[in-house]
Amino acid sequence: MKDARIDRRLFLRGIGGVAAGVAAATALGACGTGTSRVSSSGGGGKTVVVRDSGGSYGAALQKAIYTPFTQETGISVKVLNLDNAPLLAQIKQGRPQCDLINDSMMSHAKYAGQDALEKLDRDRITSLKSAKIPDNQITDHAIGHSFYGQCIAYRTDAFGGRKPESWADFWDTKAFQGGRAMCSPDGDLPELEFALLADGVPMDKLYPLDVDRAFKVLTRLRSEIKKFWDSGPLPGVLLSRQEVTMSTVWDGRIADLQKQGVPVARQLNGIRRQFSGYAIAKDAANVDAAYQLMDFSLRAEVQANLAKAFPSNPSSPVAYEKLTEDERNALAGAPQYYDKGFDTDIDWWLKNEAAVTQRWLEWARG
Amino acid sequence: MAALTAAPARPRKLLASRKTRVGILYALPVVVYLLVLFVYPIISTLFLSLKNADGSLTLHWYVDALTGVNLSVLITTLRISAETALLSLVFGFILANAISRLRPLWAGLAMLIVVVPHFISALVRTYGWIILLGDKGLVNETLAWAPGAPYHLLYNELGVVIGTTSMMLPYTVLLLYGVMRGVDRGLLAAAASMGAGRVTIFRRVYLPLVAPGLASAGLLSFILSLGYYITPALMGGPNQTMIATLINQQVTKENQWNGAAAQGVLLLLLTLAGLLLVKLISSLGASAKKRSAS
Amino acid sequence: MAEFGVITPSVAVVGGKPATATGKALSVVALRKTYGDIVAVDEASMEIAAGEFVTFLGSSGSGKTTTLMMIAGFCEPDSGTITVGGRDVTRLAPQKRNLGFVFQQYLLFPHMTVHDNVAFPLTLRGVPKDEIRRRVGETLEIAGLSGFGGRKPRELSGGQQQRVALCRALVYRPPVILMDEPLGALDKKLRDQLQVEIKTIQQELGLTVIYVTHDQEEALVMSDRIAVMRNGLVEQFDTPRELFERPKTPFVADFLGAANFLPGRIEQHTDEHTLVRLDRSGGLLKARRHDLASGTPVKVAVQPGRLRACAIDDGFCSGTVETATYVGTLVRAGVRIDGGDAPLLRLEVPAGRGPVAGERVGITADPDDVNLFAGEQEG
Repeated sequence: MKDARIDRRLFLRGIGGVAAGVAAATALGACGTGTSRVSSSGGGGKTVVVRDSGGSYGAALQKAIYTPFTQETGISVKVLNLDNAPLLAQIKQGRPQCDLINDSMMSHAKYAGQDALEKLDRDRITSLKSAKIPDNQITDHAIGHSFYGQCIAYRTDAFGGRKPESWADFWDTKAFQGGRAMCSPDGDLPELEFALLADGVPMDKLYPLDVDRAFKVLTRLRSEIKKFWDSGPLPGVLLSRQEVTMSTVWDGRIADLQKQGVPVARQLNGIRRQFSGYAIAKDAANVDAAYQLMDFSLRAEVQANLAKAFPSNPSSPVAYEKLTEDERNALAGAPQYYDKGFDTDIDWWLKNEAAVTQRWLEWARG
Repeated sequence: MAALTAAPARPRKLLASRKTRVGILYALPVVVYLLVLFVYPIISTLFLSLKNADGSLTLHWYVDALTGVNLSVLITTLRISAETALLSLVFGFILANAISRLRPLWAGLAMLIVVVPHFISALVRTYGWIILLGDKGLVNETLAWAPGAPYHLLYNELGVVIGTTSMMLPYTVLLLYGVMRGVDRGLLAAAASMGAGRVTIFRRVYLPLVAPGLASAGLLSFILSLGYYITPALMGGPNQTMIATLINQQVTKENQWNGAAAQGVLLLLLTLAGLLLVKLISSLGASAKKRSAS
Repeated sequence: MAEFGVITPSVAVVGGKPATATGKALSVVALRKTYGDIVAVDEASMEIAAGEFVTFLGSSGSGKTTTLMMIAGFCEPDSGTITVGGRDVTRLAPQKRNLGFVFQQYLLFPHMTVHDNVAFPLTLRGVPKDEIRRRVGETLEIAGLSGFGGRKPRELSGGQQQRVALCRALVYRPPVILMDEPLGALDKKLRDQLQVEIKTIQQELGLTVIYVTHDQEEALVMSDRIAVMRNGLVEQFDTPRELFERPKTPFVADFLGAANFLPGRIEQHTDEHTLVRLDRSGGLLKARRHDLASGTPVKVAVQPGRLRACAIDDGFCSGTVETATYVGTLVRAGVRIDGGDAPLLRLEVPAGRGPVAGERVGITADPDDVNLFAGEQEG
């Protein structure tokens, strides 16, 4: 989830670009000389430091995972909210502040490319098997624990009872009138896949993406897009204020609005899934404890508990069995929905994100 | 002759004086502080912006920053900052002028209202602006009868400038309020006693007296706007992307420090250019005045 | 355009009534101003002739500044009328009254040069540029400020700044110039110097000036007439000599002359004089003829400089010199009068002939210098 984004932006606000550069440079310098490294030998009991993105997600992690973990093992958990860049810099200095990293699988792939992660010993993670983590979420350096998706959200009162079924409907502003909102590169990866799906590309033939075609299709919708959102709550706000009738949205962001009685719904057809996972920082101080916490977190019942506290979708199919039917149906990751969507091709995006982002900006500024 | 012999001896004497040595001692923490937290980061940012991937020196980060989309973003940044500076000056002036005439209690309250938006989270502010300025917002609902409604007040340059101006108002209001409080009301009475009407008093006495405040308030909001990030993102569209957004993207998404550093340095240079410009204008104005007086 | 630069010497005689009372420059009728329950100015009325230098004298809270502010238009009267040159200006805004004003705090425009400050009122009146330059130059010359035109006010001393303020107020020849304690912020020496300068300029240019001060000496030095004010009331509006020698109230006698007061009772009248029996010493005092019935309790007021020491049996009372202080040309003496808890009389006598401490003296005064005020006995 992207809760950290807001915080980072608050930090950047007012300080300004120069200051941001300066501050970041200072942070780098500080990392180099920092003495705040946590060691297991310090104090009484053992400790593990985990990086997560904080916010309401962090609170859910504390409740569903960290506290029970400490109760079970006696190992205390310290939390660190740190951006990718300073974290990477720390690891490269050989003195990471954290042991376990909870981040997107794409970030992990970047870290791994920079030789910043420990190679994982799968034998030390027994819950891989018991939770039946899918093979494609197990890499040499990271294990996927959950995913979030981007899908369609729409106002149920806007289209005379009809509901959009596909990305083609999202693009069809005659049948489904009203403004649209889509994601800006500030919020998430540009939504090229949706354009291609709307243009008739089959879901299993998306990658490698035809960037030219995607932008051509995006151009057809450009004038209807009122706002490119850059933070999770914004699509909900735009929908509830009737600024738009349809928007892309992170799948977990609609339930609260529905509870408030806002006439919105989501369409999971064509959902784009992005996984998050665990990895261990290279030269981490508490590798053993990090393995223990990772193993604990990946257990099916622990993943289920987290899903109850926060709308993220466990990677373990077993976890869904431990939920009530209502809870299960609310999650975009439930097995019955799985064929509706597709997994983001991290490798393709790793290679192309910078260029696509640049092109997106040129396109959007028209 | 005495001066000739005294002159070379002077620097040594200065350092030798006990007072000077103590003074240097007192200044030391500040100097170290500035060196470590200001000079060093800026110089390392400068270095970063000139460094190639292989460590050699290059200007291509600057070429990047000054071509294509980056250039147009830079120009947008300058334009929006200038518009913001102008508008926050106008509204800041009106507000500060009104507040400076209020009783202290009311003035404090009014000031609070101006400052409060600063303490509201970005999300809440977003929501507030949409409620106010959206197509189905308060303004458009009240103006529904008007031709051309609904007006697009959000997600374009107008929206951004409304947002940044509201964020800059506290600075301009506080600054101008201070300057206005410093203007002796007696001077206005004096002008009236000589027969000057309200407009003349405002134009020939009040305005020149608060002019330095206007210059610094305008400059301040311009410079602050240059580095603005969140409000343009909240209230604008891609065409209102500001340079700080690009810097942030490069650092946090692409781990591309060199390009970000180059844009940061450009921003710094623009800020300095702004300062220089205001200085130039004020000194030109002063010399023009002198010429007309003599 | 008013003819300027031709210096018209005033025919006014210092200390006497101005002989050039060609017309009323300003008249104030029954002016009243209250702040809540407090009466700041109570039915003040006066007429001021063109070319006259009039001072409002009083301590703080006497209503002198409020009266001035009402004339200037900075403060609106509750009732009454103000007429300038025959025009009713009571309800006009300050800028429409065409008066000059010199403030205690100078209030020069800090962003303008001295020249521009003085030129300011002329530019408002659409005077051509050449004319402005000429008149500003002449005015600065009168005030001894030639060559200062290019300076900023902050580069001048306090005295110079006030001279500039004066120039600024008179350059456009307003019919009346109001001055609110203009020398209040200056030191004693500079005050004395500027008092003379202002008076000279006023006389040379025949200006009509209303001047506010709390300093009796300043008022006496500068004014043709003084309005002594107390608690919002004009106690007496007269020439300095009249105020000094013929005070109409004990307050005026005390405020201006610092008079000695002695309680007594009217004994009898002769053709030219009134005889007063003093309460404590029982001595008999000869005063100017007053129309007061015999037996009326009175206050006798004699200024220190008008009392004389004499042979012990020749005075209206006698006493012992307690102090004798030599102050240049004068000796200030304190004489304790015989009998009971008698007060200390203050005398000022020319040095050399003065009494010495411990000496027994009689006290006498010219009947013409003795003022009697009917009223309550002094407690």
